[in-house]
Amino acid sequence: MIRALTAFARAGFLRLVAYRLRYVTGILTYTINVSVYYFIWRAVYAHAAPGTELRGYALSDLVTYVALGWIIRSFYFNNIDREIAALVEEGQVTTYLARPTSLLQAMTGLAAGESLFRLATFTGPITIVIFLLFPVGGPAGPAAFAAFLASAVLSFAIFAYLNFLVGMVAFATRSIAGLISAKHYTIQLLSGLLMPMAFFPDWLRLASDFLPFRHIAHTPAALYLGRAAGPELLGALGQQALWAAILLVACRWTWGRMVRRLVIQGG
Amino acid sequence: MRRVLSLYTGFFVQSLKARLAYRADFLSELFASLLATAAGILFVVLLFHRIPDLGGWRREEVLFLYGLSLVPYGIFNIFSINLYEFADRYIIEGRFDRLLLRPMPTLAQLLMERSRLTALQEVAVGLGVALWAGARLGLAWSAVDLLWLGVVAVSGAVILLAVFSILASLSFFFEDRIGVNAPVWNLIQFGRFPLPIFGPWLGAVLSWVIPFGFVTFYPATHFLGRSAFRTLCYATPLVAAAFALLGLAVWTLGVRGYRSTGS
Repeated sequence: MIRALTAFARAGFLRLVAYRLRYVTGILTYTINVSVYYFIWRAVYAHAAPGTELRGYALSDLVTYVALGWIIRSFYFNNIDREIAALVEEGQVTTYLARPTSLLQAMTGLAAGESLFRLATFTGPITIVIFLLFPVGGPAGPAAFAAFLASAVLSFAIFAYLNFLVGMVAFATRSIAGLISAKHYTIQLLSGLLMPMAFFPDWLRLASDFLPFRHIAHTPAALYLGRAAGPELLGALGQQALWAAILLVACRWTWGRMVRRLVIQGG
Repeated sequence: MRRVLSLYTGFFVQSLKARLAYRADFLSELFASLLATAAGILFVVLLFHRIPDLGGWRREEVLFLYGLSLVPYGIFNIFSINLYEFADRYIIEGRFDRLLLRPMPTLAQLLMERSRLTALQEVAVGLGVALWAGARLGLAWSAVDLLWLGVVAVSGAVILLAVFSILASLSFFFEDRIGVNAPVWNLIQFGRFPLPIFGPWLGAVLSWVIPFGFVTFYPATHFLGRSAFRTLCYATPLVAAAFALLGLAVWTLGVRGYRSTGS
């Protein structure tokens, strides 16, 4: 099983090498996104005394928060949902039924390979450019940094499983473009990528506590900033791991059902 | 002249029919597009939930800008899809040869061949937000204001079309999929906020290199009564005309150098 996963990871890796030039423009795109939110937050604090905190965040914290959010997004991002939709549309999904690996293993394996590849070729350069351009702070400490790294890996898992679940809907309806878009904006907002939960109205913050999305961007960035230490740190990572596990079970269950439905309809 | 005009409308209507033929796709696209618009507005609303002002700009002013920016952006988006996908669909897959055979300017055909009527929701939602925010700001719409609103909508759409036509023209020379559209498309969002918050360097780029500042911010200062930007505000139609000419020139140059991939 691990060997199958590495084979898919290798294929994902090779698929990305073919489009090298896109990395340069990709780095530019991420830099532009960070700068939009950097300048917006800078304007928010424009008339405040240096060091002023709003909702528990000084400007320097927010800049670090936003920058780290986009940096790890360049690592965990994937298009599993779109890819499954394309496989279903073109009828190629049947080939995955004949293979000893499930679609879930194949898609997450490919995505993991791509993410590992991007870590070196994309996330690395983006990190350097963003740290050079913006006053991004360092991690709160070695433990905070280690927790941040572990948390970013869990972000990948949660993001990949959510995408897989969205992709599963393609088996039931003809076009999932609207759903993919809904997922995109839900994650962008409720993951905390654009602003920390502390700036949300109370009801929305409360709702986000019971949803998996905040563990995609907010948890790793908060860990980096040292917002949790000791048992709290482990608690945050544990919650994230729990969500990843729940979503994994949901993916397996849904895929199992879809396979049975497919066989019934097949001919 | 009338013949040409009826030719254009006929062509455009035909492309709309093709889009509307698949109703489920159309509705799905409309839903996705509405969500994108709503998410953008929601960000501004949430941002101001805990914050009094943005570098000296009040919530209603920023919302007015944001809403107004969706009007030219929506008009642009009716025609934009082929510009984004020009390299893939027309150069690499060889569709451009077909455009050359027809008795109509290639750029006009390209813009009208695959239109997205769903983008009209951006115009409608944007106008709604701008009117709401304008009412809160105590804006009284005079005839001149309404006329200026029309000028802003058209100029802004023309600037966006010109910039992305220039980018599409690059594909005549570099068949490679460089993907330069994505970063420039992301720059559009700077034009939805008060330009001064982005500092002098970025402000200069957004005014004189890729003039997204003229799509909304500068012309909008007419409504917001910020007289510091008066000259640039009323220069908007000129900037739009200049970029339209530049866009056409670069496009013509590109078509002249075009060699079919022959497939």
